[in-house]
Amino acid sequence: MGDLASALAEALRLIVTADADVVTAVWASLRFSLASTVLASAIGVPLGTVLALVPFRGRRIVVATFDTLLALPTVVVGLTVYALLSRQGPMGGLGLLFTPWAIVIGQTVLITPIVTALTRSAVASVDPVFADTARTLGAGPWRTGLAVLGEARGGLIVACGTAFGRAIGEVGVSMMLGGNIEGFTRTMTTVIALETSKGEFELALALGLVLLVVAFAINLAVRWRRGSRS
Amino acid sequence: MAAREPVVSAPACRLRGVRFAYDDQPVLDGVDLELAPGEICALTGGNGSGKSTLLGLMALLLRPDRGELELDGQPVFPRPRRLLDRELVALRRRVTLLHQRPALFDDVVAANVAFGLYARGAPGAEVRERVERALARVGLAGFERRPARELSGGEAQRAVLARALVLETPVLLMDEPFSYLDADARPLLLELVAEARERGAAVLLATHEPGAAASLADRVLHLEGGRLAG
Repeated sequence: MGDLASALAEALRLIVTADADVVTAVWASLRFSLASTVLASAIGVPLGTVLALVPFRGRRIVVATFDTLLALPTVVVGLTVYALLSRQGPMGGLGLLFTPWAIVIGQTVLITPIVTALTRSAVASVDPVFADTARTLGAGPWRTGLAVLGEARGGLIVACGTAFGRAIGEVGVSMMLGGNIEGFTRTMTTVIALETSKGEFELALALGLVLLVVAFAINLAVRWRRGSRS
Repeated sequence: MAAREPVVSAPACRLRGVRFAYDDQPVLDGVDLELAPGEICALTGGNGSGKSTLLGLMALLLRPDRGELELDGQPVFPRPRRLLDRELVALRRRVTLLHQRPALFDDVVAANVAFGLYARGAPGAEVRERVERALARVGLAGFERRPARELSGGEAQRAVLARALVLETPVLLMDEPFSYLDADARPLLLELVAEARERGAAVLLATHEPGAAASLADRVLHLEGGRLAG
């Protein structure tokens, strides 16, 4: 108990004094997760919108697939992308394995289904009268889609916030694809895993606390944005 | 001096033998209707008689199962093979439908009123001028930057009228406008419909209030059993 208390005190000291290891890992996590969230949103928002608004044969199967992929295990994503990026893999020539890009690609694969499924759900729940209104005012398919997306803004913020939270909190993809290289691909979660395995809790606890604060901040921001829209 | 030939203009909208069914349950069956430019026509009928469906067909939101539909003399349904999707959108811009359950987009009032003008590619300066004029006409001068969702019920009704009438389309369809308008806004609606007639628009006004319809219309049509009488 005393050890835990002293570890916690040391963790707080590391945060307050902006320890270099803490800052480096936090900054890496934020950069990689933000990049993967932007990429996943660029793919998932249009895809979710199409799945909600455009009827086509087999749509139910596609929707069910994305809903299933919400629970995609990080190690499965890590393994699959590793196979693609490894030297023998089809994208091995790009030399991306164990670079920040590998982590961003892996996280993008992990969270794109989240953005897609939550966007589809948010757009599908918009009252159809808005799409009809846009059409009767002379909007084509694109402008109609944008008008409906505008009505689903709160849901889109939740989708992107949830995806960012999943990306910054995952460890499997970052460990397998980034290689946990200090100052290069080492993120908050990989440091926590490494330090805990070494039995050194101070840095792990400090980063755990930062992760909690980040998660809390995302939650607050999403709630505030939703509140301001409703 | 030779006598001048009378100018015979095409009907603004013509339907012949139009049939429409929801899940094999016919709502309209053999509807014939011609609306002349500058004509105000009232459409009466009980709840569920198919008034909204007929307006949806005329606004090109629905496609008839059978029969012909022309706008300004141009065949729309059965759809000619050479009629492209974007041309159908362009044809839809000749019609304005005021919904039974009007909805304002989650944006400022000016953006709502400007929506249809921007969809038509109107230049910004013209849009601003027309929006300002339309809002002044419905008693909402100075409301441009107000969030639409913060308007009172009566103000929102006026904004919906401004958004529809700013487009000045050749065909104006109104679905039960008296059902959502306050008593204060009714005289305004009558004035706006009279102005639409003066500029040559054909107006079809669906209502289940025969009194309101008779005071305004050149012709009253009654929809019953999927057919028009009157």
